[in-house]
Amino acid sequence: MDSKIAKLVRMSLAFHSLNKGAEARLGLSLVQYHLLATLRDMPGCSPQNLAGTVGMHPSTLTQSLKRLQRKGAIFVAEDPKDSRKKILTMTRVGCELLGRFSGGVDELLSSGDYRERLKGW
Amino acid sequence: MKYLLSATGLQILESLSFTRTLYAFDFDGTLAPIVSKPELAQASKESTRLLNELARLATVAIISGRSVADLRTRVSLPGNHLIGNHGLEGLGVRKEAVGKAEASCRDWLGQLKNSWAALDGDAGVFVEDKTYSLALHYRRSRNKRRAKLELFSLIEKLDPAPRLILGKCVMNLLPAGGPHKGVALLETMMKLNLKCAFYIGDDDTDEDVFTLPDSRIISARVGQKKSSQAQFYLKRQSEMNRLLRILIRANGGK
Repeated sequence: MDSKIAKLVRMSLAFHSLNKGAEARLGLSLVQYHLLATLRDMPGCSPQNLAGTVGMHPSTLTQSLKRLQRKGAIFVAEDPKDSRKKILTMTRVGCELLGRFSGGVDELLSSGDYRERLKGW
Repeated sequence: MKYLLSATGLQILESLSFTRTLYAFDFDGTLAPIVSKPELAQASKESTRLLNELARLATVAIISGRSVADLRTRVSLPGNHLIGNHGLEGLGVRKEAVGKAEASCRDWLGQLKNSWAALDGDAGVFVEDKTYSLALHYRRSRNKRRAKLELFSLIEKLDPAPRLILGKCVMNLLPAGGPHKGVALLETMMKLNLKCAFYIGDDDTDEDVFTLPDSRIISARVGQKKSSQAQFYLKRQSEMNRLLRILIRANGGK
């Protein structure tokens, strides 16, 4: 059991490090990329809908959305049908970030450190 | 309902160009202005040019209550995604449903002919036979209120009972259980493997699209109407060319 937990912890740390590295080098973390790529095909969706689609808790999503909004990658507006609700769309900046990430992620994943840490998963 | 050419609307329109989007338009009252004689409806030369330009850059469809044969005489579209008779004709044609619709229309025409006297010679009321559906027009009637009531009472007696879709001074009779514009839009998205859709229409028949519980569809109505389920609106049909230019620019055109 201990070895399984140790493996999980190592995996979690490797993922955390990969996420940070991706954000620093490519402008988006893996989670942010996943959110943007999903939002690209759901323009004007609600945060709840996006959370459901990516399988994330809405409160966790809020933090990621705030970061994406600060980067100018998403646009948050009032729902045209219900002013109490919000809708999300990806901006042109977001589209460019997606392109940059897609172009560089293979290189990032194949860099020695991550490859070593993610071995066996 | 929000104005489509507001900051939010423009942002949404731009975001549609980042993925594989279907741009779908109603014809009468949307691409072409409403005219008193439906046979004279025509999109302007500029609208047609812009629509073709957009169709070169993205997937464009027209979903109309008119028959496909009629639409072809009014608009040429690269890709030829013309969907007629509220979805009965077009990409996802179901032979059985089409045959049933044609038979129902023949039945209804016969029955209407026999009871047409109830309209007491109102020359402004006429039937448009679209083969798979009927449109009863009363725009040119001098007493529209009376004409509408008389038409309702004629339709009530039809056998088999039709599905009735009210439009602007027109009553559309379709076979019950047949598709509608919403079904047609979803089928087109599926067949063309598109991720989301933008649809704009002006009439009650377009509410079948506006009410679809599908977050992949962005909807707009020509003319603001409180009871409409569309998300956005254009103030008037004459704003259509501006919208087309915005969509062309968003999709990389000039």
